[in-house]
Amino acid sequence: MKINSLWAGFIVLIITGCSSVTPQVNYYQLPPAPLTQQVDLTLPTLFVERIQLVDFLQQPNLLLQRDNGQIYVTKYHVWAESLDKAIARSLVNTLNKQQTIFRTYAQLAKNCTKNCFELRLLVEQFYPTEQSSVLFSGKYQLYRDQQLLVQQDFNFNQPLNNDGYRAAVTELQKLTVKLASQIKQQLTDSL
Amino acid sequence: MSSQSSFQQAKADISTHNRVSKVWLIPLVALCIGIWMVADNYYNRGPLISIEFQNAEGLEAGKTRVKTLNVDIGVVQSVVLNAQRNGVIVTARLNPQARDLLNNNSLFWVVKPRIGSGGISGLGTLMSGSYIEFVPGEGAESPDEFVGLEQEPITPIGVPGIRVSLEGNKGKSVSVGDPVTYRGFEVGRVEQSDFDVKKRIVHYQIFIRAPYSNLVTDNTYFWNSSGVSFEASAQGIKVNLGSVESLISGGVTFDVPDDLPLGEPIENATIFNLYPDKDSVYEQRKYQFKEFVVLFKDSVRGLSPGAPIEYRGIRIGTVTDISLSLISNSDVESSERRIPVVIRIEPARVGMNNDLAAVSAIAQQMDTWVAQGLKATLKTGSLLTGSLFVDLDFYPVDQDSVIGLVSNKAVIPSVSGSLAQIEQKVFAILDKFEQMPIDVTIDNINQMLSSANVTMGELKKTVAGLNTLLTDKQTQAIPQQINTTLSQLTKMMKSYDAKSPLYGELDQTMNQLQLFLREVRPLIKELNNKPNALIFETQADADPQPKGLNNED
Repeated sequence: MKINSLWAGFIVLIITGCSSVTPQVNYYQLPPAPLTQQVDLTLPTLFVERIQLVDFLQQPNLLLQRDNGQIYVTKYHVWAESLDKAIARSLVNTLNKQQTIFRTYAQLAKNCTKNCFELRLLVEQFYPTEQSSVLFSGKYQLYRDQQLLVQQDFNFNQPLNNDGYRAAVTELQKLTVKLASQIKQQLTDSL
Repeated sequence: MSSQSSFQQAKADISTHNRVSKVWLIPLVALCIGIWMVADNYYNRGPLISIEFQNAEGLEAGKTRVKTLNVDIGVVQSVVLNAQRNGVIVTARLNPQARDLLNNNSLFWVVKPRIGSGGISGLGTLMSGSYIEFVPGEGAESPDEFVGLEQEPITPIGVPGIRVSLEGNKGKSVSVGDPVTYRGFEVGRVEQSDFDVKKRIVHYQIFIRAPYSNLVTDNTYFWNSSGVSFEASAQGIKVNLGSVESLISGGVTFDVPDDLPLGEPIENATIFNLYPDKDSVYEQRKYQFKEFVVLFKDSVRGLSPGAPIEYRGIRIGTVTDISLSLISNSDVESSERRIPVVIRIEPARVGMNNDLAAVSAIAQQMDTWVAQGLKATLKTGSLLTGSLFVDLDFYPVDQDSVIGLVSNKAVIPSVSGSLAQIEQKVFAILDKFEQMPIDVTIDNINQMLSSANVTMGELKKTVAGLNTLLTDKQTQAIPQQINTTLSQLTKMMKSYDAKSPLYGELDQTMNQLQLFLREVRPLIKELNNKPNALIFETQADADPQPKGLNNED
């Protein structure tokens, strides 16, 4: 009799716990959809190496910079894929969309010997702020045939017009486009 | 007949006629003409001169001509012996116009075929016969007696240039007519060569024609460039080979040493020393010097006066004397066993001025250098000849690093030479070797060899066992088994290749695991913050939202 009372109380407790309401988790993806186009294999090639993130960016949750400068890790807004792969794919797709002078890939081809460009990117900021802006900063190096071509620091700051993380992700995606434009220009000048 | 008497006999008027016949005018005129001709001939004939030669070879009275510049100006009238009968006097009548050419510097010599060091000359006289060449010269007096030259003067009269006297007492003699060269270019000839018996030196007169005469200055040195010189000295064996002409006929060459300024041009008849060769110019020319003494413990066999003094390979002086008399004359029972060697330090050899001031500076500085460890040592200059030289260098300072005094000369301390040091070390090693307990060592070696024999026996057994093991079939099968294992391992590794399905599945599994961990991480974090979150309801705080510019309150 006593044991049956205990089982009944536990079940009630479980049912009560499951009945609590939690906010819905939102997933965001960064890169734009790739173009449908045939690849010219004779073009010079840019390989985007695995992108390095600072430690606090290496998590699925989106971050928010508070007014007091603290970084807030959101609980219910996460990236649909790991951020390094997302940024890499965003750059690849954007660069391939922006120009037809060279072809961009997201991995290093070992058999490339001539006109091989390589992008190494370190991301230090990639989040919105409570002060109505989104930040994208870091540094990158461009190599040509294993020789260092460009070493550049960048710090983009885009105003955030609309509320919410969806709008912030949209603005962050625009900043990746801005970075891709800058890289495209430098590569074009060197060709 | 009576009739004839009747006639008045005519009487002849006889008068004396004393007139001289005109016929006599003819011999008179002839006589006058004769006198006039004799007088004219007498007064218009050329000068009669006498020339003394050593012999009359090729000379013939009435036939031999006297010429100047190949123009006949006279003829030999007689050839007679002189009063001493050691020469001949040639009397020659010259043309009247040659009278003005005669003076006390006029030169005569007999032109005949000659073969000498200067070459072959006078070939033309083989057909025409010898003649006397006359060179007028310049002078105030007009004598009628001359002394003829035995051969044609080396330098033509009137050629501008300078005559220089040389004195030499060593080396091969230089012959008259030998070339004088400057850096291989002939600029003059040796004109005279005499041996001064009193001074026992050879005296030469050379002529250097203009404009090369300006090359001779008071710093010029002359040396004999004859033939081949072969010299073995402290510097080794040296062969000097001159030009082809100097090989055949010898010669004199001159130059200003590289370490001296050009100097001032000289006047005629300046006397220079003739050095045997070019090296002698550098070795023997007059340097200002300061003498020192070095007392060597080593043997000085191979060291001779004239040997160089060097400082780390740079010559700075010369050995002048090796004499025990410096110390033993005064004290026969002296305890000094070292050999005194007198050396000269010559500052000009290292670029200092060749004057007493530089010598004085060296003398003063030597005290400091010796105190800093400067010492002399004997070194071998040539292994072939065994000749030695004195080398000065700095060594560690010890109690010998002080200037001594022997026979009023400063003494530079010495150390044993490298060969002597090697000799000492060899003797030291031999002494140690002699002191070694050879018997004990040999006994130990014998024992060791006995032990080695035992060891070799055991080793032999071990090798036999190893051979048995290796010949075993199971052992021989091991490599085959290893090969099989390796090939299986290779196949297995291929299944994990990046292109293999297994690798793809593994990669996909890892990605899923990563995704799972990403999703679990918020739960773990929540449980970390609130361990009972699984059971009790948590107040789900919504995330703060980034505010847009358009919606700011």
